[in-house]
Amino acid sequence: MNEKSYRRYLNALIAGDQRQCQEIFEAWFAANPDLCHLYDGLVQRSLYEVGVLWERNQISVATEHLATAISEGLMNLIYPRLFKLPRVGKSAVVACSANEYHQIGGKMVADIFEANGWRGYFLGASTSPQELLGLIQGKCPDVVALSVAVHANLDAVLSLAETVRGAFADLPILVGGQAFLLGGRERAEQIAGVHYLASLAELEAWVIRHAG
Amino acid sequence: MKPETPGQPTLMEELKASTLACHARLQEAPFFQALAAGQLPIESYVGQLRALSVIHGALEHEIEGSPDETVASVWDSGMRKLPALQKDLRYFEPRAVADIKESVEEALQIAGDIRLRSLRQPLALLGYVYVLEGSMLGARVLRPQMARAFQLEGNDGLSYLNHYGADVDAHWSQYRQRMDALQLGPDGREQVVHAACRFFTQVKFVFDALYPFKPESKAYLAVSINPEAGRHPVPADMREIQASLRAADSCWQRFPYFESRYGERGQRFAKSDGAWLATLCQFDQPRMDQQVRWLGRVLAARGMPTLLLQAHLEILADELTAAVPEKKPLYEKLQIAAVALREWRGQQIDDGYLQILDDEFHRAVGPSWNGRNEHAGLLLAAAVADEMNGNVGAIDGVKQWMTDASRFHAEWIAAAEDTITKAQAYAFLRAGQGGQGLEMPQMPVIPAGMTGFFGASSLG
Repeated sequence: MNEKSYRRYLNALIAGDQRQCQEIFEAWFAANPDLCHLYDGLVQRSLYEVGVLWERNQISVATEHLATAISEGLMNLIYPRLFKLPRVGKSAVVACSANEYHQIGGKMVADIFEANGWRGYFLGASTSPQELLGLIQGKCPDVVALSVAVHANLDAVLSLAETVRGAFADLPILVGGQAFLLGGRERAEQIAGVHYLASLAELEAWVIRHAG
Repeated sequence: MKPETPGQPTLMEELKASTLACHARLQEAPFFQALAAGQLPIESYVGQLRALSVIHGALEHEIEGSPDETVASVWDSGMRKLPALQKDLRYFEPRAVADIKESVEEALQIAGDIRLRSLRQPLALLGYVYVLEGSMLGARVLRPQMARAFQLEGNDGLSYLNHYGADVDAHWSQYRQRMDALQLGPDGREQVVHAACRFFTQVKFVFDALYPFKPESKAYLAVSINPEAGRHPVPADMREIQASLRAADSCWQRFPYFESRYGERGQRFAKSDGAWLATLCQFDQPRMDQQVRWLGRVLAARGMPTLLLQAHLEILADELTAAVPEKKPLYEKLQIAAVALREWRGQQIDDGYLQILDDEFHRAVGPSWNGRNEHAGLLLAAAVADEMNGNVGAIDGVKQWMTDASRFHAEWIAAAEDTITKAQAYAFLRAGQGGQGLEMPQMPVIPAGMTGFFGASSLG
């Protein structure tokens, strides 16, 4: 799909035109049924741009929230299709740290797992350590993925990673999210068994590598 | 007014019938039983005021900015209750009552819903208004109970519950007439009624969180300072919070522009932003600088050049150090961040030239006008430096307000435009890019005593 199509999507997103967004979203997925490509090239890119527009006072906070709501709604359309895919017998628990209310990144991560045949258990925004440990105990996942969007929450997500490491010594932990654009990778990878993944494409590559 | 279709209930009749059950469920909340029994904790009442502040803050902001004429035809400024809630919260401020996290979270969810609906279904705003206006009828019962429970007298801590005083029935009657006069189709009615029902259910969640609450639910949150601040962190130490509030007030007084332009709402944001800045001291310097620069970009695009943030950081560091001297080394990071902002701006326009432009502006508009917005020239020139540093929208953020003909006379506007032009020319010259898409104006005469701030070398 081309730049012109992306721009049309972005304009519709800012205008709150859910129907137009859905048409373009569906067209992208029909042209290339690669979830990573769709999320990375359309959903994530447009939301980053919406964030910049808010920062520059070119759109209101309400418009930003509406864009997020539309994006999440579109992602939900994909969800049923993911369950039809063959399973590989592996699972991941995906969470955001406490006080991290930007959950769309975590939702994308969980969907990437699902799209590659894993079960992706997503706990939603603002997960407490107790909730996370409880779910890991119950589901015995093959990996835990922690998403963080706001840089101020970086310490919280690293602390969450340490808590998981303390309770489950051998469980691989993946971290990522927009917050790391301002640094923090080295601190994350100082925790044993923690891997930083810079993009959805890197995540997908990791998921495929560890599917067997 | 009766509806056009015979037999059809009026909008208010439909609202009452549709919300009857959820209204009854709300009234059964343990909060109200504890209040009637005189056993409601102070945290629950203050928590109610804070939750309602979050809701009213979002609702009143969206309604007053809504282009929808139907919404505007029902609303009048006398229905604003956020000021009364703020007044009550100021009354309780000395008691430093903690928030109840879960009730704040429920209120923030409602505020988010209100913002979304204002764009998607603006008529839904009238459903929220219905519930809140109706609650003023019930406030007649709650007010004496609250007064007894917390030994409150007069309007102290009770302004919200006494918003309409003895005129509550008259206000309700006028409001009902305006609502029933609306000519809404089935979809419009559905939006209003659905929003009212949903809001009643959401408010029940708020009151369920307010009482009973767990001891670990108590915390001090950003919305305690500013109901529109959202979820960002604030210090856990009350001394730091108080110091942050003092710093915001001092900065506000130093720059009258804040008050002129942003009023009470802006002051609340200055306070909550200041409290957030105080939390940055936990980070190392590079991380603090990143966060400060990010806030600088956000504020600059909204008409507050980074020069103001720099001043805020300096004052905040002093206030925090005075309040908690043992943490002085941590607070020094704020001073370092302020210096970084200053040096960053100085790469475009140094302080000496900013002062020259401010003085010129002062002379151009005369002392009586300058007194109303002291440092206007300084802010305009600083906005240019911010824009040249890549802060998109920094100039427009200030210029649009400073050149508004409904607010300022022609000489003021001319001086503002002249200041921007000169500042741009100066920055271009310093960058060695003179003439790139900009016609160079004649450089101003440098007053005696100012040449030390920028010499010929910096102009070359």
